[in-house]
Amino acid sequence: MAEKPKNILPLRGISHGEKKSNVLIIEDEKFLYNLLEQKFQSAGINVDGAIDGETALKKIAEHAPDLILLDLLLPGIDGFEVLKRLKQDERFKHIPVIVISNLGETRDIDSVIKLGASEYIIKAESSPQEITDIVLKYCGK
Amino acid sequence: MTASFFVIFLLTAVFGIYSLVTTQRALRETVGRTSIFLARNQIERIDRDIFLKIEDIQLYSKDEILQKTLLESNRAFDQLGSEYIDEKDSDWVSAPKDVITPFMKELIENEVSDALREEFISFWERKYGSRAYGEAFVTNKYGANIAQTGKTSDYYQADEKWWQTAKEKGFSVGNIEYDESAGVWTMPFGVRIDDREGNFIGVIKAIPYIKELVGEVELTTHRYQTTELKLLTVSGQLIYSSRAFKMLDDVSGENFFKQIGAGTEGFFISQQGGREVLFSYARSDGFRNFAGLNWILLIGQDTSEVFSTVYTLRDTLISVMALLLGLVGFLTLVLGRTFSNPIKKLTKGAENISMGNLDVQIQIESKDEMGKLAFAFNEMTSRLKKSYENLEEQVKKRTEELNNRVLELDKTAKLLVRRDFELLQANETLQKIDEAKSRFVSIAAHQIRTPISAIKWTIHMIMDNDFGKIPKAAKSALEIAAVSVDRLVELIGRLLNVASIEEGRFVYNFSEIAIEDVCKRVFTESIDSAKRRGVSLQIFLPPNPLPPIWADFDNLLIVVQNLVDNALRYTPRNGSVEIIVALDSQIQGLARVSVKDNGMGIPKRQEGLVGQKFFRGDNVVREQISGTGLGLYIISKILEKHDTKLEFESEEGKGSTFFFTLQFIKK
Repeated sequence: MAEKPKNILPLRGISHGEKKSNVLIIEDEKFLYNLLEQKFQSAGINVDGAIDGETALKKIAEHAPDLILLDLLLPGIDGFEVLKRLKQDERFKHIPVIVISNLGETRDIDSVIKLGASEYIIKAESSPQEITDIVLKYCGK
Repeated sequence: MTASFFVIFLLTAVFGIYSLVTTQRALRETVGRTSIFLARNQIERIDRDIFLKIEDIQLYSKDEILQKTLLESNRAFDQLGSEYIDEKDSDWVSAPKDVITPFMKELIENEVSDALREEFISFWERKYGSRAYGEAFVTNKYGANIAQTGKTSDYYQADEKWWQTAKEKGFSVGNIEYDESAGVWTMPFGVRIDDREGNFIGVIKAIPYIKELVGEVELTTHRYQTTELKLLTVSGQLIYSSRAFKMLDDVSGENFFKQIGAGTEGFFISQQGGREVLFSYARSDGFRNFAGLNWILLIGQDTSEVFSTVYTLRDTLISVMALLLGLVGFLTLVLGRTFSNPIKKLTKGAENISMGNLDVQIQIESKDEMGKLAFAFNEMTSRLKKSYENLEEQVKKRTEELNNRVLELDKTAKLLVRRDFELLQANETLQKIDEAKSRFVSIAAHQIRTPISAIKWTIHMIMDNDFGKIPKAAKSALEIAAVSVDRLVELIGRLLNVASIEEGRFVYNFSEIAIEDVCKRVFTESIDSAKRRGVSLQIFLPPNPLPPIWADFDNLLIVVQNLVDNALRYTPRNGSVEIIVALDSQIQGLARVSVKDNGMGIPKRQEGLVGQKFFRGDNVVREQISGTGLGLYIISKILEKHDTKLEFESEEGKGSTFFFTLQFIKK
């Protein structure tokens, strides 16, 4: 199961001289997306969004992000499929994928980790600050 | 039949004879022993009586007058010398037999002779009306007569053997003699007289009647009519017999005397003038310092009387045997004729049938069981014949029917194949429905979680001032909202678990694990939560690592985590919760995991409900402590899979201990 971060201090106000990380949030729930976008931006991260798998894959192909936040239940190509394709693609398999979903069953988590996801976050069990902290960790900040 | 009869006959006879011989021997032995006992008893009584008589005389010898007189006499004789005695003796002997000289008279009528008469004669006459002693007299230490109850044959006695023996040995018993004057048989006793210092001062002679000594024998109750008693000297002279006898009659030539063994006692059977007599004997062996007189006491009893029980038994046995043998013989003859012949006929009939001849009929005219059997046999044969005739026709008919059946079966089989196919399809549909259902639960949980996530995230962001600074009051209100949302999330999570358990979709991965690891992990993960609640959380592990167990690590984690969560939740601030891992104290080979709190406990009347879905203690509900009531249910289900169960001890207001045991892997 995904470990919750314990000793990471919330980072705010990142120094302006550094290059900002690009995070792609693949989330069909617009409201949740907006909350995360606001949280990440105020943490000094560039945020882009995709509301379904197809759009997401297109955007990644155009401009590869530094980190991907991936919801599993998406219209059309779902999160499992997106993850599978990314990890099979030599160009993108190095990009860390944090799965962020409300599917909480062991078998879902197991299969996602097997497919190559770096983290598994259950939305209902995390706060936006906690998610931000994890993201910042992957951005190397 | 004849052989078996003979065997039975022989066995009965052998058994009869054997039991007869054994019983007879045993009984004879018993009777013989009893008889010996009687003989021994009698001879001992005689010995004792002789001893007591001698002792009586010894007792009398201490008489004061007697002693005084003897001392005086001895002193006088010390001066007189042997010439005086010789002179007196020759005077005494030369006097005619029936003449009593003045000197003799003096000795008969002095003080001592009066005492002797009183002691040995008058006393008995007065008391019993008959005499026990013929006479008595006393001599001084020189053998001279000093007092006598009647005239003695000699004056001087020191030359007599009995006198010398009495002086030497203390007493002497003389030979049996006939007292002509009294017409009785006597046996004299001589007893030495000592003064108080033990010096020899004289001898007393008393002559008791024999019948007085052996008379007691007669008193013996006669057990059998034919009982006879004989008292014999060692050389075979008769001293006493319960039948008419002649004193000192020599019976050493008789059969019974010759058969007496060398031992001290015994019994034997002897022919006595056409009668068979069982004799038992016992030899005298004295009494105290009296060595006895070598006498033999013999008791004879006719065997016809003694062994009458044995003979009755023998006669009965013989009669019973004869009766039995007769009966066996009769049965063999009669039953043989009644049974053997018809059985032979039946056997032959059966043989015929087995060879295929079904026209057999047996002729037995009797009306008993044999007749019935023969009738049944004949009936059976004719039925057999009929059914045999029917059989072929039946086979033909059945074959036809079977052919029809096969056709029907063929149709049914085809139908079944179709049904099977339909069932398969139905099953697939059901499986699909099942999968859909499971997927539905999963997705439903997801769908509920999504809006909750939105609420939770919003609350947190407002609290984090992401939408601008908010007042403190708002923040604390939001904190409560956040906790409620977390509870909602937890509830959904558990509902999902319950659904999985009930659908059997809960996955178990058993492996060899250390139970300590599970508990340590829960401890580490719960320490923060405990701190937040202000409850002290401690873990106690055994000093040495426990053996491994076979369990599902993740699911046990859920169990222990749930127990700790519950304990923390229901324990007030400043309370304590302990996780204890130990060997079970009662049963070997078990690990025991306990989670102990000092919280509010479970009300006694509700203890039975623990582990039911949605159970929560009344007191907990009153105190408005959040909880789903599903935790213990999930725990119970998981522990069930581990072949164990959740147990607890609780006291309302004092706390609870929840525990379970797990078996170590057997090596």
